Amino acid sequence: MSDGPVIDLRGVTVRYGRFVALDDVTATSEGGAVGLLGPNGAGKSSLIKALLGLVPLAEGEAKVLGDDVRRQPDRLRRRLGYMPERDAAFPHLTGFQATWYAGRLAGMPDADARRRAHEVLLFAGLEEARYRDVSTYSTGMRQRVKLAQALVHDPDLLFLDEPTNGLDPKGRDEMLALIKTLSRAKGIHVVLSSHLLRDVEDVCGSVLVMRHGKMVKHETIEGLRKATDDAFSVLLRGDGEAFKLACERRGMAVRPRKGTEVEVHVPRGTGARDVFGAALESGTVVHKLVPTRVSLEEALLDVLGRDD
Amino acid sequence: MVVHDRSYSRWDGDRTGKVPGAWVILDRGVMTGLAVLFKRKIFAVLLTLWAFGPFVAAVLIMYAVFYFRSTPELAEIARNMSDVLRLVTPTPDTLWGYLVNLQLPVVFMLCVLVGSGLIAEDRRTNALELYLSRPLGRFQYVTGKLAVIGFFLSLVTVVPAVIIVLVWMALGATSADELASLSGLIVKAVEAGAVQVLVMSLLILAASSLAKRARNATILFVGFLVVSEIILHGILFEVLGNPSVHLVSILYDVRQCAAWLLDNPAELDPDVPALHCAVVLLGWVVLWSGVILRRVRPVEVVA
Repeated sequence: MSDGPVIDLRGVTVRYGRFVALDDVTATSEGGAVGLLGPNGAGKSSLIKALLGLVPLAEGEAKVLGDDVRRQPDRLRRRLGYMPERDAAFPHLTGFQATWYAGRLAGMPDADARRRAHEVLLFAGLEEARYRDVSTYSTGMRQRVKLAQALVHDPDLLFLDEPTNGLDPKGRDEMLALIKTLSRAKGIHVVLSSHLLRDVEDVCGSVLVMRHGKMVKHETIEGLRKATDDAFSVLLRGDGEAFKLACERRGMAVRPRKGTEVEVHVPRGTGARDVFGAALESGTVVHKLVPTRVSLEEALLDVLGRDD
Repeated sequence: MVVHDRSYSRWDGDRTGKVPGAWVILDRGVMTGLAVLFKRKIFAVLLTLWAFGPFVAAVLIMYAVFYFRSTPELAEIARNMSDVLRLVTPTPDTLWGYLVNLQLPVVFMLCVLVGSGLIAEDRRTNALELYLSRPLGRFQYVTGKLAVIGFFLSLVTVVPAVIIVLVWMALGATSADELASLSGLIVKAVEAGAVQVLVMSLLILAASSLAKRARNATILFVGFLVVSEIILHGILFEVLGNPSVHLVSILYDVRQCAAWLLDNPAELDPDVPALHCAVVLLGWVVLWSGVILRRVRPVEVVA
């Protein structure tokens, strides 16, 4: 495996006709589990497809695992696994045949592809259903067989495009557990594209945030949270409206929660002392003040909002 | 009780891919094609009889005549069978008839049953994304699919034709000159059959690449042949009366080229040069190849 960055993008631009899907994207990732975040149409899937060599780069240079996407696509794809967002299956094949076939197409010898197909189907939890036609599978099983197909040739880097799409909560947790095992215990680099921020939060150590085809931010999950405002959950007694006005004068935002409880977002450089100051000024009493964990969703909204 | 290790294990085998992707597609495609053909047993048996009946009959007649000739008390029967033998003895004329007339309905059936879904089904199930995210280019993918339909069509045209010639070489050839002539006939049969197989394979693959269901690909395939053979060819020839109109008929072009390649002047239409037919077929081949390669993409750009 290459010692350099796992993903190295320099000025990558992808166009579909006149539409610019990726606009001068520059980013580097050292590997591990990386989340690809952004609203619909941000360019997440286009980025994955560009890295797989499925769509041509109009400009720029992209290296994955040290290989140039344009110059060595076949060599590179032998080391990549891809689980597409759309429902995708080889027609007329059972789960085992489809996984074995995916391995053969990836360049595996026949016997190894057969053995690995059984192994990864077992890992994906499809041992009972592996001899059934994939067209008879439920949505969750189809997601699992897509994962098995992406894993059969033991890739060094796995691209997962919305892997929990259509799964029930239990199936979603199981899928995320499988992905976590791959990235944390088995040393496979993972790029996880998802619009479900909790999925990314559960699995990934860092995120690439995209918007309108541009790379807006590359940050660790904790860094992204830290980069946003702190927040406190405050239980009040007294005039809530006066407290809100006092907070706003200090540059803090107040969002109502249950009953007399509010959430106060404080900008960087301010803190709990300012919350108490606002309470004093408005003649209200703070009964409880607890720092709240900023969710990745809020952090992301903050990043996307600032760059708007 | 067997305890399975459910955890993921790494694999450090050889990923260099000794077997080309097109071969893997051919291998799997043939198995899938056979599964489709043998889905209904009675239908499969009837199709097999239809496809190989004339071939088996020809071989049996040749063998029977050879056997009767070598048995003095049955020699009379062999003499009586000489007319039948003439129909199956491999000559440019009989091979031309076998390839482009007798087997044509079987070729159509196989195109529809096996070929129509080759790309269309992959497009319907979004499998193209799975194929092309592997170390496999569009050209390899198309080559693999072409090989699948080519295999089935060759199996009912070129292969039996060559076997018929080989059987006759073993049983009926009486001189070195005749053996040499029959060897040449094998090459000619392969060439003529290859033209037919390539043209029909590319046509059904082009139709398949334009559709998202096998049924729709069949409609396109049949529709194209109806338009080119009946509407354009038939009506235009009636109206204009110009022999050059024959060029719009793909089946006519295939027949002319086959007659030319088999060196069979009896079936060669003197009004239209075979070279013109070959050029027209080449044009179709280039056009259909372009259509297929254009439609086989991992990403569909809608806007």
